[in-house]
Amino acid sequence: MKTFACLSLCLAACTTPAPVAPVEPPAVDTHWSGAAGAGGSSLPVGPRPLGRTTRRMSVEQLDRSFEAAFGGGWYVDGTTDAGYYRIDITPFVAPLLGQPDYLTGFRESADLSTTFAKYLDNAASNLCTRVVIADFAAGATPTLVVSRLPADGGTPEQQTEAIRAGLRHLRLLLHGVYVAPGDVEQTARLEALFRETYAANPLPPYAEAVAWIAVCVAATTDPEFSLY
Amino acid sequence: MLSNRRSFLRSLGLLGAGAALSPLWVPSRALAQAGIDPHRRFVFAYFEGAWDIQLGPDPRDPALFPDSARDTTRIELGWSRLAPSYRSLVTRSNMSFGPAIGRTAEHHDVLCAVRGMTMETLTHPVGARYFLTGKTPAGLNARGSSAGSTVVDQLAAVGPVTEPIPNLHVDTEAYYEGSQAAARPYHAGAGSVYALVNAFTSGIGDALPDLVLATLRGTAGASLLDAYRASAPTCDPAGLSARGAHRELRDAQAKVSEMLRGSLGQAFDFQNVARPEMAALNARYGSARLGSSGTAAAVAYQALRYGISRAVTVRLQRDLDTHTARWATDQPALLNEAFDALGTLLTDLRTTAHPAGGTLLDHTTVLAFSEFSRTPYLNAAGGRDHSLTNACLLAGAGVPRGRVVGASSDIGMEPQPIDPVTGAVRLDAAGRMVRPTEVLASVLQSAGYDTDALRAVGMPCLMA
Repeated sequence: MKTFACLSLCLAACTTPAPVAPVEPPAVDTHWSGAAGAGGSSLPVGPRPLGRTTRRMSVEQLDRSFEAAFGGGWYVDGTTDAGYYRIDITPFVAPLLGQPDYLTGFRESADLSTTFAKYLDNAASNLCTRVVIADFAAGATPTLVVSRLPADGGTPEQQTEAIRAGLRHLRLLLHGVYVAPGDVEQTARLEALFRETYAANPLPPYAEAVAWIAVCVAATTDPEFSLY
Repeated sequence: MLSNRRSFLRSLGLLGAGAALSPLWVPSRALAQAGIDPHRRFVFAYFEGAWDIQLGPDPRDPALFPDSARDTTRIELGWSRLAPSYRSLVTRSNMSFGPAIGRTAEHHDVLCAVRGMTMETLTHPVGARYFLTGKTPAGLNARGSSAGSTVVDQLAAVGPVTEPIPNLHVDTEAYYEGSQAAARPYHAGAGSVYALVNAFTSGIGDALPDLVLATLRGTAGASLLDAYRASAPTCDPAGLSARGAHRELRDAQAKVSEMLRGSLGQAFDFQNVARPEMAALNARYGSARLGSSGTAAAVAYQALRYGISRAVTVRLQRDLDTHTARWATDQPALLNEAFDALGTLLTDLRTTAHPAGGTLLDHTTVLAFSEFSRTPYLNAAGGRDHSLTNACLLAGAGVPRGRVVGASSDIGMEPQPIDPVTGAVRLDAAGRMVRPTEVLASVLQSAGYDTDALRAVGMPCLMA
């Protein structure tokens, strides 16, 4: 019996074709029209290919985008008698946004519904507040606010270039749009919002942070962030 | 500590207070000129999982159909397996109902029971989509718009739609193939009315510190953020969006702002039983138990009462797919809960005055349906499988009152054709089968809506 088993194994080994090293398919990067390829610095700007309709991110894409842009997703946390707790919100609301449960449905809805808009609003509020406050507190490795107004009391009117530098960073971070220094048109609406928010704030010490949160929320809820 | 659901939701920044709601009744002369009843509202109540019509809208008398005659009648009521409270027919006037009909039976005088319908499918999503749209799905894929979308699409084509959530869907699928943005369904649910209850009671800023909130919201009129969004270029920067996705998102954001200003969430804050209105609703519907039939019915009532919606589609019950012995326990209890909620809704609609005169029910058409029904005989597991035969209940405006249309056969409860005018069973060549298409066409046509998309016209016997 043992001999038979050994013979069977030998036969099996003899008849099994030699393993072939898998061939990696060539990388497909044609959708990065305008890009310079790996290591290049150009950005994928320009019209999309014909036939490609605009769509919104899936829930998972949104969550990963939040992770990439803000260093984490939308969560609430706090401390109770039982200790620190943290709840990630996106999985909690994902079914409301169209994520299938794979029981009654298996296709993700990509509706641009009011629920989706409200989710974006709330997520952006949470994320932007968290990041701006952290940036203002730390300052060493800012995530969002790369260009603060000088601490000696400079106003937006006096520090236009500092604001515009921050807004250019915001456009790049959240919209993937590189804005060259001097191109004020690409950040004009955000800049106007920054100034209006700054001016409307009754407590000047916090005006700058509030203004940054405002433009962050505006940019995060902009179609250019969630649609592609 | 996250002490309860409310505190948890508050921690998400989704709860808050708002101004009182005011009814929104704006009849349109343009609608009347277009032949559309300007006051008509719709409730589509879906029983998910395939209901047992013997226990509800299409019963059989056990004296005439004893289980011992199953081989002859191919009907087995199986009442001996049910709880004692579900072992008697409910007979009102000229209409009988199954033992699980609950408080819906109280409204026999305004009901129209449609029996002996054919669904042409035994697949749950196909049947559901067929009844929601009135069109046979292509495979599993729905074709056309759900009825609520059709209604609002035609309204919006005539003039502005004044309801803040004209096409409300709670825990149901919704389809939209129209051209009017206002007809786009608003979904709430996924097991509860969580989104509806909570999402629109507070603004963008409740996750923000008060300081930021005050600044972003502004002190009067539109907030700074609204103004920023309104200043966006009207063209689509991508330039190639066939659906105008940018515009859709901007529209959705504007709708969110509008809802927040109107504090619509207050009407659906069912768990806040400290408020007298919510306490009263909870006493009637049990609406504080989110996800229940009572909550779904209460959503429909509030949406109509406050003029929030033109068409409301709710899932009144779920989990009715009882292939096993749980048919005997779960099916009657689940049906009874849903029919009780439907009955309460009808009571409220009948007792609430409409600003244009009469009651809400005088201006509202209610349709209760399921994707198909269950076999008239029990399977080896003591449950019931899928049956093509179906029934539905209509009530309210544009519907014959206290009437039974059609009948399933007395052998095997098969679908039967009817005379479209009289509603009586008609087995000759002039008889027509009643399908969801005919039911929805009748509902729409009775209110003056166009039914061309269904390629059908209403049946006179289904319209008053």
